[in-house]
Amino acid sequence: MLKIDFWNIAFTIINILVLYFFMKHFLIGPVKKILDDRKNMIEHDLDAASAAKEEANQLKETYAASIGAAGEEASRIVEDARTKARAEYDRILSQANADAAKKLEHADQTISLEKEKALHDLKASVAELAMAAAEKVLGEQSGPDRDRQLYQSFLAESGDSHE
Amino acid sequence: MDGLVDSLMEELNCNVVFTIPLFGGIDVLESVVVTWIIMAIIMAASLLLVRGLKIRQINNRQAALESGIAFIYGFFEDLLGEDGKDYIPYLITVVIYIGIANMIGLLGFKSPTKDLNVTASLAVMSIILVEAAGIRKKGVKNWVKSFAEPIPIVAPINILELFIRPLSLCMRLFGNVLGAVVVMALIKYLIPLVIPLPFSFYFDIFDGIIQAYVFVFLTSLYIKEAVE
Repeated sequence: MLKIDFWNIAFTIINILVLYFFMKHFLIGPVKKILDDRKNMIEHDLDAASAAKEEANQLKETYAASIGAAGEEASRIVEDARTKARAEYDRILSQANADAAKKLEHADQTISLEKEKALHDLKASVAELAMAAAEKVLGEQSGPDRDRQLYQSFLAESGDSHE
Repeated sequence: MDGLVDSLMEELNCNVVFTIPLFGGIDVLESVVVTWIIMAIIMAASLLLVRGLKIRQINNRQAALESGIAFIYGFFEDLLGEDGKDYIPYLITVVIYIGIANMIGLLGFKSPTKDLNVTASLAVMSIILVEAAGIRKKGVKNWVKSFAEPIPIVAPINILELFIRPLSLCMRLFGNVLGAVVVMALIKYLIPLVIPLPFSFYFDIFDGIIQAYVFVFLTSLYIKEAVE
């Protein structure tokens, strides 16, 4: 109980040292290594996560900017198209108006020409008809009686005027 | 009464298990043999526990092992700080060994800590560790100077501490375990039935853990003081 024995103290010290080295290499070491590894991994993962988050935010900003630019571009294109369409509309309309006016003028000219031509034709026909009628009249009452009658009427008319 | 004395003497004696026939016969005491048994238990348990440790998707065994080691490690880390980190594995070893040694009486073995040789060895190792830590941190010159701090007049007391500290560590542990054994033997002698059970919980389990704790706690305090 109270007997101090050198050899047993030496044995115990050796025992404890053996146990210490064993524990250090087979229990505490591996467990500590796992804990440290996990700690490092978590830190690394957290760093990676925050980096990824930052990158995502940057990308988001870029996208937002490009979306805004795209909207602007789109409205610009629409505006452009609208302006062009209006110009084209105006052009087509004015051309149509001009065409119509030209056609109308042409029609007027044609009509007046036709009118003239018809009048001319009519004059010709009337002269012909008069000639025919005169011929007919002359043809029917040629002879001394007729001549005399004519002469008489001529004389009457001129006589009247000379009186 | 003779029965009590006999059983007490039987409890208190540390028998010689066998003798090594060298240098005129080296007696190997029971405490050393029980220490071997404890070592075998601890070694087998650690080999079983550390099998297949993983970083992710750990099983319950590993989770329990990790939280246990992390708890003890954190306890010593808080006490010792960054400078004393290297001494943590030794302190963990000692606290586990003393804890099991104090409780192994429950399995019918004699506690090795009931033998003064064992507690003396532990105390000697502790004081060597403490002073080695001081020398390692400060260098021999400053370590010698540190005995004259805060004023040179306390130097003799500081030198005395070199012997008082291990002696108190040794005797505290030995006395507590011995006292517990004696009290338990008396209780068992007086009332052998049921009543010893709660006392056994106290003296064998609670007191065993407390003494292991106190031993390593004081050792780490000394180390902390030495490396400061």
